[in-house]
Amino acid sequence: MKNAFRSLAIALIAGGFLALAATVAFWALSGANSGWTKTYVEIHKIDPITEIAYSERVERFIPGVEILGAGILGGSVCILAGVVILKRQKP
Amino acid sequence: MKYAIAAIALSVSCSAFAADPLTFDFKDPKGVNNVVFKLDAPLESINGTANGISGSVTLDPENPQQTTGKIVVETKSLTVPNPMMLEHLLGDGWLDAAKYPEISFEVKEILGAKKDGDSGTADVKGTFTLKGVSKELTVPAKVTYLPGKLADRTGGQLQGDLLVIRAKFQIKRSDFGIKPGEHLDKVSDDIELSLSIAGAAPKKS
Repeated sequence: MKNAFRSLAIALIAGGFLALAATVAFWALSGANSGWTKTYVEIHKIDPITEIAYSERVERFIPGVEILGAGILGGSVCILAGVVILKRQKP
Repeated sequence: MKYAIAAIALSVSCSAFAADPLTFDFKDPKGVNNVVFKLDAPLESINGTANGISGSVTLDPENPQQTTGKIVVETKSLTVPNPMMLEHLLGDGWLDAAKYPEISFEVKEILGAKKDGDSGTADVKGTFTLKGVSKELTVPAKVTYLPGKLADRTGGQLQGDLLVIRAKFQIKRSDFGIKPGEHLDKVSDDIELSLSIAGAAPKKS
């Protein structure tokens, strides 16, 4: 029983760090967007004939700070839970 | 008799070379034609665009004062980045796009037209209609006539001319009954509009 709780605690800590690292990496590699999550981006172009400036919408998922925050929070909660379980198992 | 025939022949040949007014269609399936709107309130700045543009302008390049026409923007085509804000913008509390599907400007008079080659500037007096309310406005505009450029734009499929209109002006939402006096800290009463549109006049074969 003690070993099961210890294993759970280690899994929670490892999983928490993995989730935290994966979230931060995903957010950073997607452009480190400091705003809300976007589902499209606007690409600014100039029409070569009329020289009118316009924007073209391209569907693209860009995670925002709320996804980063949720990942960090979730990972931290898992790590904290694992640490608490480990501490309670110590004699 | 000989002189009369010569006079008639001369007038016919002159009228054949005189410029006929051209009608430019501003419907643009590529979505290049656009209107940008900006509201700058103390607590919030709102920037958006609209590209559901249609309408036509009839212009005689040799006689720009005779220009007539109407430009229409589909209200549903207005967009802002925030989906919640967009829902409110088009909803019945604000623009009510379902009841008022079009925003338009109808040209009534051209004032102070100045030509510089194929470009020109003028003050365009007309009727601006928003949310069912019409107001007379005078808008400074820059017009560029591009003869023969329609072929470049259509990959050679159509021959004809292009007309590019650029205009920047300001309206007050309160003048059009859009929540007058309300939410001024977040939604400015002053709305800056920038129009960049190109119309096509295909040559008749």
